[in-house]
Amino acid sequence: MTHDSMHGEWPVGHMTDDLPLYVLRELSAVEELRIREHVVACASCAADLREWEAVAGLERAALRTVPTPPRGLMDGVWAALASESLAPEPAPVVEERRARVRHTSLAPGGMHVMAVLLAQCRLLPRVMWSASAMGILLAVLFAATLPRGTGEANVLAFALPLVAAAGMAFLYGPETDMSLELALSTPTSARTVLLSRFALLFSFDALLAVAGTVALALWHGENLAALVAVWLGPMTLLAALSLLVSLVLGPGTALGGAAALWLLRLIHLSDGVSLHLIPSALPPTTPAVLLLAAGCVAGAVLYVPRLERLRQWQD
Amino acid sequence: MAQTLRDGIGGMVETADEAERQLIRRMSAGEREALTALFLRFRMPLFGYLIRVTDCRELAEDVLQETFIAVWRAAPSYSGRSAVRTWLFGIAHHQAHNVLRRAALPVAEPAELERAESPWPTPEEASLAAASRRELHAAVRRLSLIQREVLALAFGQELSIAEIAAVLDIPVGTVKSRLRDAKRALRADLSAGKDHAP
Repeated sequence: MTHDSMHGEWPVGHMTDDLPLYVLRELSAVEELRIREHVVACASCAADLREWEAVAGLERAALRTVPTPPRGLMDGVWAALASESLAPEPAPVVEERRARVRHTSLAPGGMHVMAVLLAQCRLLPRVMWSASAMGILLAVLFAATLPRGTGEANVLAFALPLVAAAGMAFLYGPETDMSLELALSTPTSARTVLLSRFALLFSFDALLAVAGTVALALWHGENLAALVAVWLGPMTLLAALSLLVSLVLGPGTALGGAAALWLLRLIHLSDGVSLHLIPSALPPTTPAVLLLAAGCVAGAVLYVPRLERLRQWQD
Repeated sequence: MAQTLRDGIGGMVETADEAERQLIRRMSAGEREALTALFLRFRMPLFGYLIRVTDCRELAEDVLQETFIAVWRAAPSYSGRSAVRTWLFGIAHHQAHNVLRRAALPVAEPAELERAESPWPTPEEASLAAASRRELHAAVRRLSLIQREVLALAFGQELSIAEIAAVLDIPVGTVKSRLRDAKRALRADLSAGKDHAP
């Protein structure tokens, strides 16, 4: 229903969007009936439907005249594959493919990296971006409502790493991502897909968090660098850890694990069980922590081809 | 009615798909005959699609060859979450775009086409249904690559909108808007032709 009726005899408007689906037989019986009734009364939609049928008829007719591809075509396929391993073990074929990919991905340099990043940016489910942005926004807003110097840094140190870790837990896996399989069938290796996704989502989270912190620092007149340092190290480590755990043990374990780890650092048994947001209980922003995070990401990248092979054998 | 029919043939489709999945598994175990069997099974629909997309028989042959090379290489990474047919058309789509780019043929930017707005003609102006099949065929050939391919996948190959979205790696909404844009472009092309006619 894209625009109002030009004729007036059909008060609910046209069915422009549904007409191609009708021709493709993708509508339910009730919707099909609705269309059939509508086109009797609406000349515009009836004309539209005739056009779709003409296009469909043309495409079907075009297929009927397709010649058979030449027999020699498969000879060309085997000639091209002759230089590659045709061993009955699947592993060498995988290695072969990866070796080729490494070569091609180095050749065009930056352009290729940009293309992969852009493609992954499009392929990541939208909810991932919106959920992360919402989490960060809420954390910053909550911190901003606290009076100056009463622990708004602690709120950031607690919440921002958890938001990032939650996103990372669902970064890679067909359970959450229908297009992953297609991404993996193209000459981009599983490792490149994983690494580019991590880079994209982490940069997105970090940039938003920095923007929020800048706003908070201006609002409260606090030291920006000190505020960023409070959450950057914990966020990097927890995100990297969550990614690694999600690959090995699944997204649920990663998310639960990250939340449990964080809460355990904050539970104090001194005066009954109480939660204290104390930044010193969390990993600080130091080279050692960042290095540990890099180690987790490297572990995930090393592990991911093994994961793909495992999934393939499970099928 | 259509729904019942679809449910009815659903079982048959599943069996066929299982046989195709078996071929992929055999391929990843290094069995060349499985690739040949897959070629024999899908050469006609894939070739039909590629001829429509490339608009050139020789180019379509090249792309078909590249497609089956890529299929052999990608077989070990096929994990069975999409139907074999969808997976094959996805690979053919990638190869077609690669080959056309190498041949320096125009591949219009999707964003550019999706932004293009055209006025909504009234039924009286609509000339698409009245056009002869030859005129319509010529107009389809003048469409952009991405418009030709969405028409070929939908009406030629009879892939569902969801399958086309998976093949082209785009959201379902974009498939629908590309279909609409393709028809709008055909209509504009044909009415422009009529204006120029003596």
